Amino acid sequence: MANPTMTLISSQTLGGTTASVTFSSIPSTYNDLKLVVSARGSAANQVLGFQIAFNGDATTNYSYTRLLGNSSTAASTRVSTTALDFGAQMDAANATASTFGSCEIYIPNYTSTGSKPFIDIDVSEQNDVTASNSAIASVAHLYRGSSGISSITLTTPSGNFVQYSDFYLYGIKNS
Amino acid sequence: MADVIEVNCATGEVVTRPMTADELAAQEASAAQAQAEADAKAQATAQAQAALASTNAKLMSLGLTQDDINNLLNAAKA
Repeated sequence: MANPTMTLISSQTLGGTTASVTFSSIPSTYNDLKLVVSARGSAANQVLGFQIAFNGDATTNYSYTRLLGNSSTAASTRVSTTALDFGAQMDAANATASTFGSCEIYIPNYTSTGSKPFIDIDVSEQNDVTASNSAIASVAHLYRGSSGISSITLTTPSGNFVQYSDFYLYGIKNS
Repeated sequence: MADVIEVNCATGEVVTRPMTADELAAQEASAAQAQAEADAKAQATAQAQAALASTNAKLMSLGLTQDDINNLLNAAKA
């Protein structure tokens, strides 16, 4: 009988501002990966995308389609064949002080040598009276690398991840 | 210079080190490219909106009302 499990592989809570976080030597013994992020950027934005890269791959192997709603506007963004997957988002310096964006990234079949579609859901709740400053995004990503994923790097395009940003990497087995 | 953190999931080792000059240059290049992509997207959107507005104006000059045009657009989307 199947006995699915979700195991914490590793986690990081930042003790100070940090430009990037890398999980390397990820075991290939799971079926799927789940990355849970609570983060805030130091750059002067309300919301800021952060980059996801796999295996140190900086070539144009990434695409993403983001559907964003902020209570007043719905918007769709499509970026294809890019080296920079900035689909995931977090709160940044112009957001309400001490608020963090929440993001869950699910990467099924991460050991596949074929293209790897994955998803993230991220929420920015800024605890202020401007409704449009709070947003939720659902993002469809595609990574076309021909190797299984053994490392994940999250990087801010400007500024840093601030102190107390959290990163949790889980492995999921279906039996 | 900003720090980077590398977590080795096999050994549990965590290395915190300053970003190298090459990594800093790559981050700056990434920021520039991301901005360029965003600018290109905004420009394409603006051009599409301008083209739509131009088409709309031409149709109205032919005597169609805005409701007529909306009906055509809705029928095309259905």
